[in-house]
Amino acid sequence: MAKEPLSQAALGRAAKRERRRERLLTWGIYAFLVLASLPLLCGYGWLVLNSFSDKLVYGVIPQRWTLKNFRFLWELPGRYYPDLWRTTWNTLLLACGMTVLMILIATPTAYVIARLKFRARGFLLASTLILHSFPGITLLIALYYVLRSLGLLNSIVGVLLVKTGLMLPLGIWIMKGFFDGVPWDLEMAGLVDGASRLKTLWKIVLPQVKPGIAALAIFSFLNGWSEYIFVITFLQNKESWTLSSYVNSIVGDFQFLDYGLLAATALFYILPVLLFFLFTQKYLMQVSIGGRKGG
Amino acid sequence: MANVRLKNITKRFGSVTAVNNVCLDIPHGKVTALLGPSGCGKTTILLMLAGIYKPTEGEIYFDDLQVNGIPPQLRNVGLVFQSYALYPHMTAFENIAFPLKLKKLPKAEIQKGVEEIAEVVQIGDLLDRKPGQMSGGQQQRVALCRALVKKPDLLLLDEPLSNLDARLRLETRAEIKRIQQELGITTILVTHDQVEAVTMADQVAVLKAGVLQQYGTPKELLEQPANLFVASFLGDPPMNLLQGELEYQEGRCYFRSGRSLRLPVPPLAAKGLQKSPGQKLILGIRPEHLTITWERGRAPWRGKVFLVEFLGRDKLLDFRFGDQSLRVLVPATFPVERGEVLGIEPQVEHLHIFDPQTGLALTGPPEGLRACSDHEPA
Repeated sequence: MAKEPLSQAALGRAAKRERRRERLLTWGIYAFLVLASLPLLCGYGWLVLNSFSDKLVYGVIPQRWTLKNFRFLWELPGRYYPDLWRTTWNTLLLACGMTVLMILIATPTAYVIARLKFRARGFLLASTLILHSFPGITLLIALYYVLRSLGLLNSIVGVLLVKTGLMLPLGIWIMKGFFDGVPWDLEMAGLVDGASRLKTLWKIVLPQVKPGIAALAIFSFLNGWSEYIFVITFLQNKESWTLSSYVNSIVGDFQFLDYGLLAATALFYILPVLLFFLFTQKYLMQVSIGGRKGG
Repeated sequence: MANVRLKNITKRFGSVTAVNNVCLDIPHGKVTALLGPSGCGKTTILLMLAGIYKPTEGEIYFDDLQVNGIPPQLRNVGLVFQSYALYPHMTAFENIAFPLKLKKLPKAEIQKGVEEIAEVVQIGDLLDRKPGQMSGGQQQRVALCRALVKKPDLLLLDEPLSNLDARLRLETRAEIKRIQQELGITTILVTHDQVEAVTMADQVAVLKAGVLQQYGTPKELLEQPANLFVASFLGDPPMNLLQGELEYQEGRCYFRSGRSLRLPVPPLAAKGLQKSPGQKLILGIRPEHLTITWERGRAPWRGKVFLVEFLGRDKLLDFRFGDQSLRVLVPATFPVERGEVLGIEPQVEHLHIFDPQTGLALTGPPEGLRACSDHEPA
């Protein structure tokens, strides 16, 4: 009989083995990911359960479903608390304000850094990086004095300016990456076609970096929405609280800690961000790829 | 419409001189090619004509107007980039309409203008596609339309064929030529491909390292190359270049290379030479100007076929003389085997003689054909 190195049956067996191995690997990866994200899932699970129940037995099993924890939506949960909707409005103001400021400042700055040659270009690039590597918290006291002397303590605008200033380097770098990805030829074509430099920027270059602007907007919004340390330091007036100081005040409430209320407010705080993220994550992904999709 | 004149143009980027004292007169309504290897400054010249770069020295004239300081948007030139540079977020129609929109023409006129030029370039069916949905050839046609739609005085093409496959390249070459003739537009073409330059252009400027080498019609460049660089850069297959020296016998002039090559130099070609025996020279002759002769005894050269290359329509025979090789073009039907000894007869009127030191042609082109950058700046 002629030597047959690989019979049909042997090939089939090998293929089967290969398939089994692949399936095993897939399950292994899933198992690992589930395990790794378990603490997070448990945390959020607890949050949701807690917010809708009166009491948790052994800290996990909910008893008596109730909406009582959400009473903060229609009444003040205590005399220490400011109006919830005012607080939400403040938070929104901070988040949206940051979004608008970041786009308005970072985009043109990044264009200039990416495209124009000028004397201090290298210095500017390096200094933005250094500024970004600065932990914001080390500036807390200095900023406090600055804001006080400007009369911006207890004002959302003060926090807005500080936050934007600290986040700008990152925003500029992100946008510079996107501008770098736009071929020079496109800009030259615009000029030859009869547009001025500004018009070329507006009509041709900006549309190419739209994904970058979207990503920057989302980043800024989330950053502003979740700001904590500057808010509790600079905004002590209850009128100007944001949701993070609101939740913080529940944790820090003396006497006893109402876990139900805490969970409910936390949920209220998270929900918009979660929804926002779900709808915009495809733009966020583009940043890690670091450039423009070729069109 | 414009005659374009470059007067002693120099462009430096930092310490790098990209273009060095180039003078060119580009006639109206013709195709002029800027030919040279990559990095020779040809694209830099193109971008200076478009107004994107400013020359460091020298002047550019469109007719009698000095345009040095005029920005690109006021020059009325059309430019097709090597990368096409179509605007990815616009459809083909919007791309082509863009220059007209900037001129603030009424909508109906824009529509009419785009449709007219789309008809000439034959892309009527592509107008609502975006660049991402088009092939390279289609993108290029759209880019050509965009350059032509505003009826520019000057059309600039940067390596228009280099991103196309061989077949499409042939088609597009003819197509561009047809459109150019139809519109009678002054066209400047940048290319590194000598075939492209020779087939498409009415006159060719050969550049090397930013310096103009020779400027003339393709025929002139092929028949009377001004120097070794032009001789070896143009022509396919390339010119044979043999190193050797002059020898005089009974008042006649011979070229000798090694032991086996001795060739009479015709009196016409020898006229410009110093009559100094032993002068080192480089002799050039194109493969198509050598013929195989069966009368081996009377042939000036004899050689053994070292290699036979089949080129389709022709065969290229490679002879070796010592370390020098000599290629001869014969018809594809020519019966020849490797190792055969054949006689070779050069067509002496097509001989070129170069000075190995300067690279200049000693049998040089008649006055006026030499590169004008040889002149002193005025």
